[in-house]
Amino acid sequence: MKIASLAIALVSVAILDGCLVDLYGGDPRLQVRNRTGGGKVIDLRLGDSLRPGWVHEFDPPVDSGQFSEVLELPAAGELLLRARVTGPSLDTVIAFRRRVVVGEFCLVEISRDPDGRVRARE
Amino acid sequence: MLTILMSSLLATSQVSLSAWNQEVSEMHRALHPRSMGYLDVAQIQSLTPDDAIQHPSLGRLEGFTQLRRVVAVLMGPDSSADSRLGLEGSIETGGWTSDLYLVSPPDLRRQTYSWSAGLAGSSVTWGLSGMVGLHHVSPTWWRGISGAREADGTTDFWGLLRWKRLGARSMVDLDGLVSLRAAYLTDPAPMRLQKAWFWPQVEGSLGWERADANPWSSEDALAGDLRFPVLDDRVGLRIDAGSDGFHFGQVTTNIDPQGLVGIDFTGGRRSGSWFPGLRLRMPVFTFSVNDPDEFAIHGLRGALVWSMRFQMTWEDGQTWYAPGRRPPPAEVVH
Repeated sequence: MKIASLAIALVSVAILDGCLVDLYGGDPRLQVRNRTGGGKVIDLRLGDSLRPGWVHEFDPPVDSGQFSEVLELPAAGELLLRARVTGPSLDTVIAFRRRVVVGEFCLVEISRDPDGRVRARE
Repeated sequence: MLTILMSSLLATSQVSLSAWNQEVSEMHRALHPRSMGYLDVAQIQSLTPDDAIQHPSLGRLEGFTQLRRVVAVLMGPDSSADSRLGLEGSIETGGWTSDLYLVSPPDLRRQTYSWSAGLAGSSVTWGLSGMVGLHHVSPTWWRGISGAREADGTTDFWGLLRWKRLGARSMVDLDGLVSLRAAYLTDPAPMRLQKAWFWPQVEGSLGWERADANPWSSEDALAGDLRFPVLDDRVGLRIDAGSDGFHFGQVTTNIDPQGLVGIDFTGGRRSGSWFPGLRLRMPVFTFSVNDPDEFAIHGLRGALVWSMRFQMTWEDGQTWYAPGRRPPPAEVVH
């Protein structure tokens, strides 16, 4: 009886472990598209500007009209992101919030308004 | 910003307090003067991501809540002695993590750690058993990227007492009373219905829980629960409700006559929405999804929760059973 119970328990643990792997969707992925018309996206930061928790420097920088590689973010949720954009008449850091879901893909478009302001859009 | 920080601190405190409150409840229900010991090893984890955690700098994060706990009570080894002393100890660790894991945690996590120590005593002649202890929650830390200390530690004190079929348990901290419950288990009264005999036995408790120890709402609440058989010893019903509304109803079914193997079904209401629950009991091990006795670790947010528990009580040197997961112990001192 005790051996049978132990066997049932071990099988149950194995099944549950398998379920956990299936249910967890993996790290969220994010890709940046540069539509600034001349600027380059240098890096993407997660966290405060004084103390970013995570930084990805694009190498080479993302040129206008190009997509970045797909990044695996270390966290999901309503994230505080910052991107540095430079160009001939441009050197700025834009801050934006983006909803990123566990295991899902998110595209961020960085563009420039007619008045010159750089913005991030989904 | 201050509101966000305060709500985050409250959430941390609430999880620790209410989770330990539920464990004290289980120990109270499991132990009686003839008990020799108690062991509970638990892994409890949410399976659906929740975005209610505010990180100091990264934003409002989505992730999972989990708790791992070991609790042991060991009474004096002489089971023939009339009165004995014992020791209680526990370690809990867990918190919030950015993804699910079983063995090693991910880099990004909010970590809480707590422990308790207690002294137990019992007297068979008096039909009396009790335990008092200290429960300490260490400061909460964010680990991994942008790590930071988030909440100070807290200390609370707890006690439980059982005299014959009457019981009481309580928790207090430096701010005052956290929870207080009185419980009663009736004598089994023989009843004959046509040619069949029944020994219905009812167990109930009534008490008060402070908002931060109440797993069912964010209010101070008077609450009670009632357990009674509905079909011999095989099917039982448990109802839990309070001044903050209906909490849950549970149907317990026993496949074997000793109540060691069974399946329990739960229908509960929390944070304004209904949830189903399922629990599989087998000797020593319990597997469950949305178990109402383990919901407290998730604060007030509803989530899909799974748990695996190794739980047992020593009655004497040769026997054991899973307390709190079966009908009330048959052997209670009169």
